[in-house]
Amino acid sequence: MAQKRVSLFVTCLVDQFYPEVGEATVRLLRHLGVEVDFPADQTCCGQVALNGGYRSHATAVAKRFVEVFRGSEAIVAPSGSCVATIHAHYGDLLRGYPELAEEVASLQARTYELSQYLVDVLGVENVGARLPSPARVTYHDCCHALRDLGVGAQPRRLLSAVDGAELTEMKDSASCCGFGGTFSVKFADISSAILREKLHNVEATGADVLTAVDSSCLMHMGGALRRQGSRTRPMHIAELLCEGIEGERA
Amino acid sequence: MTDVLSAHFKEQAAEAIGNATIQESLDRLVNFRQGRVDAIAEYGQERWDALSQSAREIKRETLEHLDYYLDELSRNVERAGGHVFFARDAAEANEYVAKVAADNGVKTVTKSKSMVSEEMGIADVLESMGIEPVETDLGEYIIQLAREAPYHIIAPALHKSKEEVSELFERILGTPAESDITALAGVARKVLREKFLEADMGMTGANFGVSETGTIVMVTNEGNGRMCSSLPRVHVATMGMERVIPRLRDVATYLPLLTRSATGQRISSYVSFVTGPRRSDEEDGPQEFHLVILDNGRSRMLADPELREALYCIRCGACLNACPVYGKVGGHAYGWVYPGPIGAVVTPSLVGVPKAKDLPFASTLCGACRDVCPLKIDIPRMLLKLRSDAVEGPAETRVPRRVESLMMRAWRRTVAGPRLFSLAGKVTSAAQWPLSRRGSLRWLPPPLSGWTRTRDFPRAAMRPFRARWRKDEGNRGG
Amino acid sequence: MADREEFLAHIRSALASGPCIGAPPSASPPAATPSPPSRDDLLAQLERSAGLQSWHFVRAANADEATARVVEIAKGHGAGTVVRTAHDVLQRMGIDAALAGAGMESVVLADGPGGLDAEQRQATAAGAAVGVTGVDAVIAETASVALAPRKGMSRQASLLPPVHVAVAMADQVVGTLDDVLALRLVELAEAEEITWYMNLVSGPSRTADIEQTLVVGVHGPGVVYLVVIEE
Repeated sequence: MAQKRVSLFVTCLVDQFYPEVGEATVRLLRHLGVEVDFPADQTCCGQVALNGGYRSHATAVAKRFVEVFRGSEAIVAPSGSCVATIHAHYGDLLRGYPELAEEVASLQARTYELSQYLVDVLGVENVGARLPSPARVTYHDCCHALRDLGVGAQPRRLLSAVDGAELTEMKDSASCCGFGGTFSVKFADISSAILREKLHNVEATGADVLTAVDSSCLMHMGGALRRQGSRTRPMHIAELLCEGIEGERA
Repeated sequence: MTDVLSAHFKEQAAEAIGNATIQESLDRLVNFRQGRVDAIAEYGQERWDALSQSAREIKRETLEHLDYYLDELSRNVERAGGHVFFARDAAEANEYVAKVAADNGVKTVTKSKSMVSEEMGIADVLESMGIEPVETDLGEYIIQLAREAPYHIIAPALHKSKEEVSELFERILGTPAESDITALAGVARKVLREKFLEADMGMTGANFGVSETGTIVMVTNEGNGRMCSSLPRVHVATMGMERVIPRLRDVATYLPLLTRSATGQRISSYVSFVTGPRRSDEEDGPQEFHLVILDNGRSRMLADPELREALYCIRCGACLNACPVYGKVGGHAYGWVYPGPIGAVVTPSLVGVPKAKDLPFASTLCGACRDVCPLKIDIPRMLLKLRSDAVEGPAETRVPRRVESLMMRAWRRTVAGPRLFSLAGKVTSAAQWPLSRRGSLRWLPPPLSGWTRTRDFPRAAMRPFRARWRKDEGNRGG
Repeated sequence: MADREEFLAHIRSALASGPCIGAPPSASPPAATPSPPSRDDLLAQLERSAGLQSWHFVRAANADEATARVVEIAKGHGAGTVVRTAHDVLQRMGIDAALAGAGMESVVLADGPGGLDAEQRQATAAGAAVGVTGVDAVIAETASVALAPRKGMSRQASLLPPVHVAVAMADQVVGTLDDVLALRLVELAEAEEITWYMNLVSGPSRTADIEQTLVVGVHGPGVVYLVVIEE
């Protein structure tokens, strides 16, 4: 089998706030024998502008994204919502560029959220991860990963195979954490009320680790867990799957 | 038209979040959610999906030829001996209904629950003419006594506790305090039974208008719809112009989608098919039947390819039950007749974005609404469209936001290339430094202060991923 | 005031499709049930769904048994006056005599020589403890009784009294709502008058408008019986 090659789309949030998630993604992919490159011109997928109503800005960024990743065989991102932006909205955003239509369709078909790539493309469920000490892990279904990409079973399969992780389902794992990008700031009270209910469900599991496929949701939930002094610690799935694996550093 | 208070979304939402009784009642939405899940499981997912698909197909086709079907519907209603009035807006519809009432010397109107009549605000118009409008759906009756707007499309008094209902009945009807819900319903039955028997005119909505036969279909559980369409001399039905369906047998497609999505019922207790007034040889029933077909902004949605799909809505309320935002802020926050996710699309579309500027933004875009919608209406996509109307649209939909748009312009330059993007990261990280403690921030200035009231904010990394990559790749290469 | 043409023209311009000429292509009607279920299967299905819909379900072997059961039900509810429709099945059951024999008055809510006027009919129906009707069809899937009021078949008999007894013949049971609507279309094609009213009644009147707690009998009948005569 020819060696798989992917381009990492690290996402702006991971790049600037959670670089260790990007490093874990690279390490994990390399551990599984995938060659990884990082197109240095990349910035953002445009979701912030799209969600804010700045469609023209989002279009410009989307167009740029298509150009930056033009030569990539496959694109993998440690984020469901950024990949969902590409899958669910690039068609709309770039409608004014019919010459790009084919390329957009091809880009969408080649772009994967990390767990999706591991399970659906590589066919891997056990990445060989082993936690330093046994821990109870609960998984939050990020809205766009679940509803736009159908990512729900993949992360659970990967997590179930992690040595030392006891996967415990929370109540309503598919209900939103209340983040919603600028919604969390513009409508902070509503966002916080939704979050309160979510965290109640998280904590009811007695989990040591709260994991998900999006750093944005984890930033939101984790920010409140930290504020409350909770013992549950947020951890991106890439980092969790990297625990105890051999392999080169990114 | 009913007043639009959607501009006060934030205050209204804050009020609901701070109200324990309301939060308790919103927690009960879980019953609706579970009912729906069980009802679909019983029906069979595959069968359900097929039904949903054909319902979409029928709506698409009907709306594409809406002029044809409305023409057919109106002619068939007339052939059956009914009258049809096409109203461009709420004012025209109200004027017509008022005239029918006046011509018939009407003193009391019994009303069955209808969102369109709420939209029209017909009750106030009748009242101003000295006619008594009586809401007869128990929930609607409660909120009419309380002089409030419906809280939920299918459960108008969702937010009221039985204690509040008892106090209301005590204060307005003079009945003794009562803690038993069955007894409270009994009070309403007794009072409303009198009204049913004395009313001269009944008003109902229409869940569907069948063009093939000129039939209005009404779905109710209490029996008040039957009363309103059977006992008074005159029956007036109001319907939004998008509620037309081509064939009688299409009802078999929509009805299970409606009742199972709304309350988890296999079917509602009563489904009434009304074709004109009473038959020539019938023992009872109204002597006059009027159908009012309302546009009131719907043609604008029809004309917009990105919003047309919102006209597929059959008003089951499933999106309200599933929405995390509705689940915290409830119905009144939305400030008009239609609350929740579908309200956040319909309200700005019908009354104009500037009057409801917060609604398209008051969503996490989680997509739960689209998931549960029996017509699979892509509500999040429409919210994005309305957001872009508010930000970049033509003058009549635009809502000025100077600071934000300057920030977004700066953002666009930042993400236009890696150099400025990296620099922005460094600046952010440096700016955050004095505020942060052990990698996170407990306080940020406005507008970010909303976040830090309840959540820590992470500090930007000293060395972003791209810098780490460059260094490591350098090492790998060497 | 908008007249029809103006209103429709506005819709046409919204659709930007120009005037619509002739009927648009018709979407296919809902798929028919593959093979008609047997009478026994339908009755078994009806019995199950009737329970779920909170009907009191009564199987009667023949008209006499049905009569006895209806009298028993009326008596059980302490009825003095029973109102009814003029459905053939009720005549055949000899319901009036049977009720009279048990000391109850039976009133047919119909216009006719020596009958009650409209106002009296409404007052009688509103005061009666029990209303008895025949049916036009019964849907097994949802336990829905189809009632199409017409001459002799008052709307009020099944609406105003607190108890409704619907009497059906086994051969009136069909599988689905679509079956009833298809039948209706056939009847309409042959009918002289296109005006009609029909109710599907699927259990007692119910509400959950206060604290989502179920209460039956809020406006319509709170107790409903479905009697099926099997012969």
